[in-house]
Amino acid sequence: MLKFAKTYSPELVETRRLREEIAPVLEDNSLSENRINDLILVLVEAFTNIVRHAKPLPSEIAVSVETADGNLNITLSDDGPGFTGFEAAREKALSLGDLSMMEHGMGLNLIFSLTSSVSYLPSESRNALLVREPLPASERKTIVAIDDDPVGLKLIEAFLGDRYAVHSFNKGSEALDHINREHPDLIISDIDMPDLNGLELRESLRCDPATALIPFIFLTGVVDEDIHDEANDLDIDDFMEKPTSKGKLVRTVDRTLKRSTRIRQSATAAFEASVTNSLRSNTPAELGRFRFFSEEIAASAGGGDFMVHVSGEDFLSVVLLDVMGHGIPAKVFAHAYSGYVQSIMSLDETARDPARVLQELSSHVARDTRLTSTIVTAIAATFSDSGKVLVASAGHPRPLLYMQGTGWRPVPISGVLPGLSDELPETKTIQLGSGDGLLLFTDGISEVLCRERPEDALLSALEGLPPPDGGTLAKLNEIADKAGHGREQDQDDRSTFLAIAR
Amino acid sequence: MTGHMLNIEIVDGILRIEVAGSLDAETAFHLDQQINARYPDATEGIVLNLNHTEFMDSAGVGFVVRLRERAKRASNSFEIIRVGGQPRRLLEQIGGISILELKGNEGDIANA
Repeated sequence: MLKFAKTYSPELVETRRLREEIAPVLEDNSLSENRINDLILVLVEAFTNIVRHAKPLPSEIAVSVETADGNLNITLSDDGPGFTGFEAAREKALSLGDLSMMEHGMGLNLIFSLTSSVSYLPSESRNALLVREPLPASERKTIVAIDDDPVGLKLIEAFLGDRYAVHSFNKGSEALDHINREHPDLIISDIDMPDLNGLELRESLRCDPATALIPFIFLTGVVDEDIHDEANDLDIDDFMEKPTSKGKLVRTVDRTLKRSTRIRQSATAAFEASVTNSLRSNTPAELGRFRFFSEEIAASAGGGDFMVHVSGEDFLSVVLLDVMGHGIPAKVFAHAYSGYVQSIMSLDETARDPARVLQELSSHVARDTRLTSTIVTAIAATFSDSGKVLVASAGHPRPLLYMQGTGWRPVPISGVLPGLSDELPETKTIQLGSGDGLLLFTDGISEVLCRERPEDALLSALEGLPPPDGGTLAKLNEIADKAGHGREQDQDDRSTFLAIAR
Repeated sequence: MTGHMLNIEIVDGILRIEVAGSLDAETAFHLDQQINARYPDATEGIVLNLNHTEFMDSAGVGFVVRLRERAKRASNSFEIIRVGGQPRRLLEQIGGISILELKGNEGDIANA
């Protein structure tokens, strides 16, 4: 299929227009940035050679790009005199890295070195340089075509095979097995087939949530209006009548795939935003002389951190939980955990005792087979008006304690991960006086600060800082920002901090 | 001529050249001319800043090699700084990294 065709004047200034115009075409074909740069360089070198050496100059230089048989074929042609030394130059070509390339013939050397397949056909009417670039197989969308007529199948393969990986079946039942196993990107099916007909096939796919949303097109010679109506009631994406042209089929498939991709991206984004919103932590209000400050350092993918708090007349309890992993799966599990934790903490008696909260959580996780596939850590703390703080941990990073006169140090507490034990975890009792503080956090910060243990990273960052308040967290955020500068794409996990000051 | 911008100055005896845009067959020849016209005499060294050079082809490499030879003839230093993206990849591919004094990496460019 032709993707690009332009003509250029034989002037060096035109190489820039060529670069600008062809880059988006190559990007559309899932080539890597480096590979696109290489191919553009090859075209510029070939173009420049013609402009510099052809005598007389051609009247124009044409560049075209087409896909065929899983390859991207790029042709640069001109109507000037042919270059007869191409094959001789290929034989003498130096490989990349040979520094003598810098002294002579670098343009041709680059053309040979940067292409996997290049040929040159000089002729009296038009010379053509053809670069054949294999398209990445894994990037090609897969289409399942089903038709009991072998001619119909061959036509679909011929029409779509240069752009998509087409898997053909002449029996509906065999196609159904393949679709259930492989989940292709799109299905094209005939209706009137022995064995399993197209309507039955579609009905079967529609009833299975795993296959119901795979774009589906009927391509059929059936002209019965009732069957058309029946097909339209099966949530299909299009209905095409045979015979059809290549252009019409390609346009329909392209449009359907693009629309499907857009809908999926949009639904995913909306779902992610909704789950993220539901996990957004509310900072606890004040309790007596306790003040609470929270901060989230969010990564692009986001993680499964969340914080739940409940308060009674003379206490406030907090659970900070971190589901390992990132992106939507972590958030979905965090959402489920959030429900469990809120339910556990709805009873005052339990909420007052952080060890019991974590014990209950562990029992829930052990019983729920869906949750046992996740790894989660949690820390629970209960604050009393008197300044007493009870802390329990389930495999969570140790909190940091700030005491007037001694500065920051970790609270020596540990506990097994939720789901692994139904025993009551240990409880640490801390008495916070005026000017003392506590910092609870999830371990995304260790990734940001490139330190193995978040505790080490934070102790180092907090050294010399006063007791926790909003300013401390702003400082932590600033440190994380600097450490993560330029590495945003590597940072997958989210960090949540809760600082408590008295 | 379009497609590039050139900034040339002498700082502390060092000829500092900054090329923005393309360093290719269209621009390299003109760059040579401008540099030779404005600073025909030897300087204490040459620093080529490619921070804003987006594209380089074999003619661009030729320009770099000529600058290096100019410095070498005068027994002076030659450095390329802040080269990234496609130009860096090209210089790496042809093995130029080992003989051209490249200072600064992708990180330096990001922080520039």
